[in-house]
Amino acid sequence: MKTAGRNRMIYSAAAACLLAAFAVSLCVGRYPLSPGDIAAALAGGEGMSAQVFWRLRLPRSVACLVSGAAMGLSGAVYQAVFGNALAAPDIMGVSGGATLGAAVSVVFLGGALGQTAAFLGGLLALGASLVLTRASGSRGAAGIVLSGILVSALVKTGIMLLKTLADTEGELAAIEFFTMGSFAGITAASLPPLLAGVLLGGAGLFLLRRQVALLTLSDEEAAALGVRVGPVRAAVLALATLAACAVSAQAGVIAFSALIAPHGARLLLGGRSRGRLALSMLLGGTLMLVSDVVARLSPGAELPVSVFTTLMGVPVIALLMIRGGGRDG
Amino acid sequence: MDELRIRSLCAGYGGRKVIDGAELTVRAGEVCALLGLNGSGKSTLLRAAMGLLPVSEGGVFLGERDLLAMGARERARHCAYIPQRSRMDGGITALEAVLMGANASTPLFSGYSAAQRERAKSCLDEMGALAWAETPVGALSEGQRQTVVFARAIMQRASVLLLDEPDGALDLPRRGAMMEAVRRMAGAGPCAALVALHDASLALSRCDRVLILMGGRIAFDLDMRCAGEEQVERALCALYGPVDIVRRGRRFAVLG
Repeated sequence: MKTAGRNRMIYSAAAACLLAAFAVSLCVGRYPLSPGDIAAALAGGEGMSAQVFWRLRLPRSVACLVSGAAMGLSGAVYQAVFGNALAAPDIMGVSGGATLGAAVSVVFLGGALGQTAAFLGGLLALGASLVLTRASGSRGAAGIVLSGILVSALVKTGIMLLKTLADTEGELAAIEFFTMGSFAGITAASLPPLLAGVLLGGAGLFLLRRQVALLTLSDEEAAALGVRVGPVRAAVLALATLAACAVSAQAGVIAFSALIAPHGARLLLGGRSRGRLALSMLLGGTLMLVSDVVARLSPGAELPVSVFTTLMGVPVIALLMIRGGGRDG
Repeated sequence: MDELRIRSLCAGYGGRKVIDGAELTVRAGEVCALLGLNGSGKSTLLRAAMGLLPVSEGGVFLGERDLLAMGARERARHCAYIPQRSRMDGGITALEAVLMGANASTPLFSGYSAAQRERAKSCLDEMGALAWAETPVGALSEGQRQTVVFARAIMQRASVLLLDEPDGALDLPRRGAMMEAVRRMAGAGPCAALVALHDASLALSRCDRVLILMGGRIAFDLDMRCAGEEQVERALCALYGPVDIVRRGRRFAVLG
């Protein structure tokens, strides 16, 4: 019971941080909005402030929150399913695959089916990454990272090739945009596809939450407890990948975003698993909002949000490497 | 109460048959040891019986029901399997680990019910492990973790218990306690328990029957409730080469 009380406090604190970060995110930007401006916009006011709020600031803040939560969730699920503390959609090249898919849609389909192409690209990258990891015989932490490097390199080459094919007017800019890892291009129109992918993935994972926990066992043990391991694992990974790809189709690869939040959650929960997925979402959303606020505040040109997630992610990975871990739990 | 029947079972890896025509029957409430040399296929037999390996010939039955024809979910309602070493996420509590035993009887998309939580607690209590209910399994000793896995098997309410060398990771005093636990589980169900064991003395002293696996099939079937000393010695010598069997009451020691 003591643990339950402690956990409730952690969740409340994390939720409060998330709300605070969201509120700050609504105000900060090239065109700063005061709480008064926002209140006026919400009350149905018109004018420049209301335009900025409804068209740009609110969509961008919602996108950050949702994307961060989605990356936190998918990272936590990857870690659980692979039993590997370094498994994450960005590390394994899945997010890269999604941007490649989105770029294919821009160049060949005029941007149509972008979300679907991103999901397919992500699934392909995941498949390639898993085949490489298995073929190398290394199921440890390092194997996944090395396969991820290879897949990411392939993806980058693919994107480069596509850029040479893209026309220099609209297409090139569009590709540049979401390969950079930034929320600067988010408008109200970006939200429906993002929310659809993330909500679908999240809802599916919520329904399968017991199976996600069972997949942390060895395959045989899970099967002996009545899990149809093959199809269940495929479904769980597909749902986590769907959420991560929905993010990358709108905002590109946000480095390490799927890795930091689950490790933060693990740390806060003192090694207990209960609530890890939910807390990963809260922390992921907060981290993404904070990173994006800092990106917007930087003097001169706006920086890509990845700059800040990388600055936070690298120490986390370094720490994991030094502790020689990589093995879950 | 139904008995576990394994009929002319053949299974192996790739083209190689490790189990080649194994036949055995375990009655409900009976604890049956499976002895064999390393690599003789004890684990293979158990895994094949649990449907974890492709079976090329033969069948596994619980009463009249064909266990191998069932899907994983249905099989898990009849049959509990305890691997040599459980790989649990160290962050789940003992109670959460035990609840996993209810997976096959819980609708796929539902959480565990309050009634199931209560029953998981009573399963832990049955194994004398209720005090750890809220402890992460990562903080438990090897023996304690195994006790939790046993409680999970009780939670499964299975009619068949398959245990793969549960004595492997335990020191001497824990082995006796572990066998007592297996006997309690078999008696309470009642369920048919088939236990691959490493320690021959433990098998002879603590089990109702001892099956000796050689050449992929059951070569000897000793009923320890009535087996004579000579019969035991003949079987063990066939398995291990010349060994001495020392008997004290119902206890046996095998001296190499």
